[in-house]
Amino acid sequence: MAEPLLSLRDIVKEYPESPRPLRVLTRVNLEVMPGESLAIVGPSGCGKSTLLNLIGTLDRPTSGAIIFKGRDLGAISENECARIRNTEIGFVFQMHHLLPQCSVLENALVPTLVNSNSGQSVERAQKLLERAGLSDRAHQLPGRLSGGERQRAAVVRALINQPSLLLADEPTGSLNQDGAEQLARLLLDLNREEALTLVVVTHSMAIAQMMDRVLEFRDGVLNERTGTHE
Amino acid sequence: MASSTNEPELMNSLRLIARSLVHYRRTHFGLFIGTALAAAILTGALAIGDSVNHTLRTYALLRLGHVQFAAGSGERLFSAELASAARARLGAPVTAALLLPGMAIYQDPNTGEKTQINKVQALGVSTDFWSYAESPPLELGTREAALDLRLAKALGVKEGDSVALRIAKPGLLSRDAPLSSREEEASQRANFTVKAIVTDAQMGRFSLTPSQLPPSNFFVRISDLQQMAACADQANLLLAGPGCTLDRAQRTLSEVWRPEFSGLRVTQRSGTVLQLETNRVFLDDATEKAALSLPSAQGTLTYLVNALRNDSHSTPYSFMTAGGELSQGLSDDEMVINSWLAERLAAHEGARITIAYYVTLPSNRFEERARQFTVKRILPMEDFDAEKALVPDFPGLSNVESCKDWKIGMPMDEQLLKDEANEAYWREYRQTPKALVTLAAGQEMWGNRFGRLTAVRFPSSTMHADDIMAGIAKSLGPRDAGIELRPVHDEALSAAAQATDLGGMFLGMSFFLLVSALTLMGLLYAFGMQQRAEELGTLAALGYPRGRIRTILLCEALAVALPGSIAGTGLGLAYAWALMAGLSIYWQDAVGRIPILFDIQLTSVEAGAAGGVVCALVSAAFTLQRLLRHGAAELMNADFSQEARTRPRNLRDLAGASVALIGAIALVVYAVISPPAEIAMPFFVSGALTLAAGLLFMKYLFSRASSHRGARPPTTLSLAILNGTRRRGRSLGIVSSLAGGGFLVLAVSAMQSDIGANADQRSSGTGGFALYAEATAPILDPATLSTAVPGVNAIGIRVHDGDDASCLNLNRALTPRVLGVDEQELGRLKAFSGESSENIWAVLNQDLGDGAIPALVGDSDTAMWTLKKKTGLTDGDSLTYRDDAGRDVSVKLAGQLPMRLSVFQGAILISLKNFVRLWPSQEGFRVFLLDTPPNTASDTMVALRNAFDRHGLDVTTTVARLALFHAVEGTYLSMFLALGGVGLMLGATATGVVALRNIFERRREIALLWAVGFSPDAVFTLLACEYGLLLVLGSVIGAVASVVAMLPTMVSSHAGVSAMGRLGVFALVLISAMVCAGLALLLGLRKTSVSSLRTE
Repeated sequence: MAEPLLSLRDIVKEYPESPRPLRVLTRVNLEVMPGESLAIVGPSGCGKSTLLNLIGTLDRPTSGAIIFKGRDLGAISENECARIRNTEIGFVFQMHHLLPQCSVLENALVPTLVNSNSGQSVERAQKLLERAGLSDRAHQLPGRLSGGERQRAAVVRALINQPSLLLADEPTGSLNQDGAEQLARLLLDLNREEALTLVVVTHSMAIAQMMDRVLEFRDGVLNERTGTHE
Repeated sequence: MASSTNEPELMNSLRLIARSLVHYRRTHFGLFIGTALAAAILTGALAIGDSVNHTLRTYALLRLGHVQFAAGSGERLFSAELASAARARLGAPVTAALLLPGMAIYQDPNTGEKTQINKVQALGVSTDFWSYAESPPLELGTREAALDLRLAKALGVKEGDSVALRIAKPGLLSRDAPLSSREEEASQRANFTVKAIVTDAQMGRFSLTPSQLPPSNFFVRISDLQQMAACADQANLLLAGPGCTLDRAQRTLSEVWRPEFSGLRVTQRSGTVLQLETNRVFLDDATEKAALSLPSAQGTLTYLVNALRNDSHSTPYSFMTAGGELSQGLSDDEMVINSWLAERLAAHEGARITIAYYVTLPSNRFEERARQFTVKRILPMEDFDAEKALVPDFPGLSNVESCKDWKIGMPMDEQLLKDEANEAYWREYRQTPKALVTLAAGQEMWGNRFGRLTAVRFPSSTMHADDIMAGIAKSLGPRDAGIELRPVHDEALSAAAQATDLGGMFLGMSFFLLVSALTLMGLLYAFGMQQRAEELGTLAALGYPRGRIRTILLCEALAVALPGSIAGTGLGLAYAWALMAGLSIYWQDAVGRIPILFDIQLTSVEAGAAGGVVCALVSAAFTLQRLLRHGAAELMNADFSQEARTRPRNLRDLAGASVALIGAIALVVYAVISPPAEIAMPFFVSGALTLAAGLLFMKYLFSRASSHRGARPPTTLSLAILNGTRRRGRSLGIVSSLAGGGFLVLAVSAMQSDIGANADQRSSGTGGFALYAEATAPILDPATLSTAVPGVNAIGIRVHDGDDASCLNLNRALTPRVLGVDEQELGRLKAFSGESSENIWAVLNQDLGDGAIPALVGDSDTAMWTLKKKTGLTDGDSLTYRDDAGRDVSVKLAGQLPMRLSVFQGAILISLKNFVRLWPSQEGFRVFLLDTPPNTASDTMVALRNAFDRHGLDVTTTVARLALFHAVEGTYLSMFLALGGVGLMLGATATGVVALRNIFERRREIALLWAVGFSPDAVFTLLACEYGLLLVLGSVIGAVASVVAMLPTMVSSHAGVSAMGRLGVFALVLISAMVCAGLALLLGLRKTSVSSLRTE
């Protein structure tokens, strides 16, 4: 049997508050297999984004272990976390967070600057932009793109370093229905084409149901949602 | 902003930085301006330092012309032939000059108005002297003078006018010496025609004293001055170079030196004896030692005693000789007398004769002492013929016809001078000694600070005059006569280079300006970065390590800072120009009222530019450090309108505030109980502790207010308080900026003490004396001032000229002038004692064991700022002086007068006893402290000036003298206030920027207030209350801290505090801050509308 790409074991996350800490996640356990697509749904404030930030090493759990490719992410340094974010995990956020001063192509290449290998990545960036339908917008600044185009540019940026895991936090939250569907299809296509493992946090059941599995957050606890993938 | 090309372009960090620079050019403008301001402030201050250094260096070079080395022997004259002999051997310029203190007097022929300028340098020079100038040599004829430009202006004379010069006539023997002549006037006056008025380039500024203040120079032919001073062919100044080294020049002097140059001569007064004598009457210690080391040398000491008594018989004023052939075989309590004396005193062999004689005290008073001797032999008068011939010539004694014409220093009874028997003796036997004692006995009685021998005898049968001189020349060099070349050129440059660091001072004074500029820059940069927090978070989320993000952004800041600093250096020149204008118009006292020549070194420009860049990078790094503490997710969802979540530390703040306050109180109590000499430390530390206490307490209150919500409905004030607590960091920033600035402005300005307060107290810096007088020509007896102006009581002070170490001199004083003070009298009066109950003057009599002379520094400012020396009996620094005998003497700074400012500023004080031991040739007193009857100071000043105009007596009130020095301090404070004030204004602008930013961040909240029915006026009132509260709190904390810091000074009886007048500056700053905040509120509110809610 294949090893999971990602395992979450008894994850607890608390924030310091007075008089006592605010607990957001309560003993969350999860296993994600390579190439799997997964949707996490739940009401606002339930901890979906927090969970995604923990998986993406943007935050650290209060307790529990996150095992990614066999490594405990809680036991590695900040710089190693950064390296993993840069090469192993791609991020797509609800807001595109493109650098306004850089063109679409430059934005796509920004992650490659960390290892100064943008020269080799230009070709891949152009391919991905073409795949995302943005090849004619490569030299435009983000300010001139539509919301959907921006999110697709953000997806290209997330994939530039060929990560094995793509995390998407409400990627369609700021898009209209057409844009949302277009983006969801792109993500799923890439999931198949690039053997990409996909974890998507979403409010949209339509998007969620396009994934292999759907998990539901409620009261800080993550449960498999059954009967949704007919 | 899109790239214009469709070709794939390589993305790299530089490209990212370039893109960001263009995109965020508006937010970078703040960093650019801040860097430019910082660079400008640094460059401007350094330019002032360069200009002052350049000015002092220029004046130093003008002061000396091409003179490289100089030897000044003061009141010890030497033969001018030394210069020609040295010049011939050295092959380089060497010239002799006669430099005497004098007074220049001009009487306008039209109005009859007389102008007298004291403390003039009368310089007798040869034509050679002018070769040290760049200009062509000046040929001065007989009774022709050249005046320096400033002296001519002060006198109001032009070329062709007749001007008088009065000089203090140098005596070959100090007029303090007991047998010195008083037959002539101590000063001499002659008229000269002004032939030329010389500029600085023509040696008009010539002086050996390192000071930027120009002297008043009156140049005449050296022969004219020698004639006036009755010292033909004598000089006291030797100038040498260029074209030789110091070693070679000094060696040459030693090679050509002959003992005759210092007034030694060998005479043959009797057939069998050659006698070494000096035109200074007493042979100094070095000469005595050298002469007595020669074969068959026999020292003698001849003296005039007051009386010789045998029971009821006596004879007044008699010459006696100690030593010599006839005294052989005597013990130290025996004497040989001549037959005339035996008859006159009815003395026989074995009789006990009492000798009464005067000794001179350091105070120039004479004390009569007596000693008994037993008559061993009575010899006939003819046996004394040889002794008569061997008595040296005493000017004023030997060359008179009658005893009653004797005019010497020691007091003589007019009646006794008319003693007929003595008169008859004088007529018949002249200066024949009436009695002889052993040399040892004579030296015990009459040996004095001027010497212990009047002659050394050699048998002419075995010694020749040339042998004697050659033998002495082997042991005695020019240095023993006080002639040692000093590298005055190098010393002048060194003194200028180590001058008061006005550049550093301006840097210090620009501190607030700099801090304000940096604060403003930091705020603008921080706000700009906060706007880009999402970008930082994105980069972090994309796997950029924090260090990499920081590096990219610092490179971006560097790219802005570099042009900013270049622009700033240009701006710095304008700032320097403004400061120069200030120095020449408003702050002249800070630079001794001299014009400053502009100069700036490339290194200063580089330092200023580099400083600006460093400031920008430090500010940026600080901001980034704070920002990057947030996680990537936090940054991406950037909302900086709320304080970051931190663990509350209320109790720690409260405890810190309490500890700081207790520390401040303890320090104030300590300073009040035992006022330390150093007031700056308790002032700043207690002030800083109080400020810290206030701010920590504010932080505690903010924390409490933000976490405690009352049940009552909110009011405008309570809402304002709550809003103030939301961004505690920013609120505390506003409070601390105003508190810190206000503290310094208030406290520093209040340090301007009223020097007139307590001036009548003995313990103060005036010593309780009403007047301070300084004479150009020495006055031998201070009592003559009291005689001339009844009711005046004078304390005389001896002066050994040196560098001016007061705050008036920008150059570094290496050997400050030394004052010999009557420490017993001042100790008795408890003068200048400050708060100390001990006799501070007693230290001057301490035996330091190592031969060092204990000294007190004139005041603490002199010790701390101008000399930069430690004082203390154990760890005090030492200065080296050269005494009259050419020996190096260590003068230990054993203490200091315990006040910041005294009339002795710039000098060091030693006891009279030590003074006359070191410099016996320095005659009389030149400085006087005067007590006057109440309310008569003005009349007394006029009367004293008139009575002692021949001595060039300048009289001023002691308070005016203190005010002269205090003006410098006052000027520094004015400069600080001006620059600090501008800095605080900039700080006020920062307050406005913070206010504007806060409104920008809170525009949705404000829009909500409008939406729920708040009127624009009500919102403005709410916000104005919020900022007004912060500004008032800052003011209160600053004011309290300044009062705490000033408490020791206010309690001290020695300094009045005049804070009230300076409150205006502080009020101005507060109002500026309020106006800036108000304008920001109006501007911010105008840009805010209900539409802001639509994005919610």
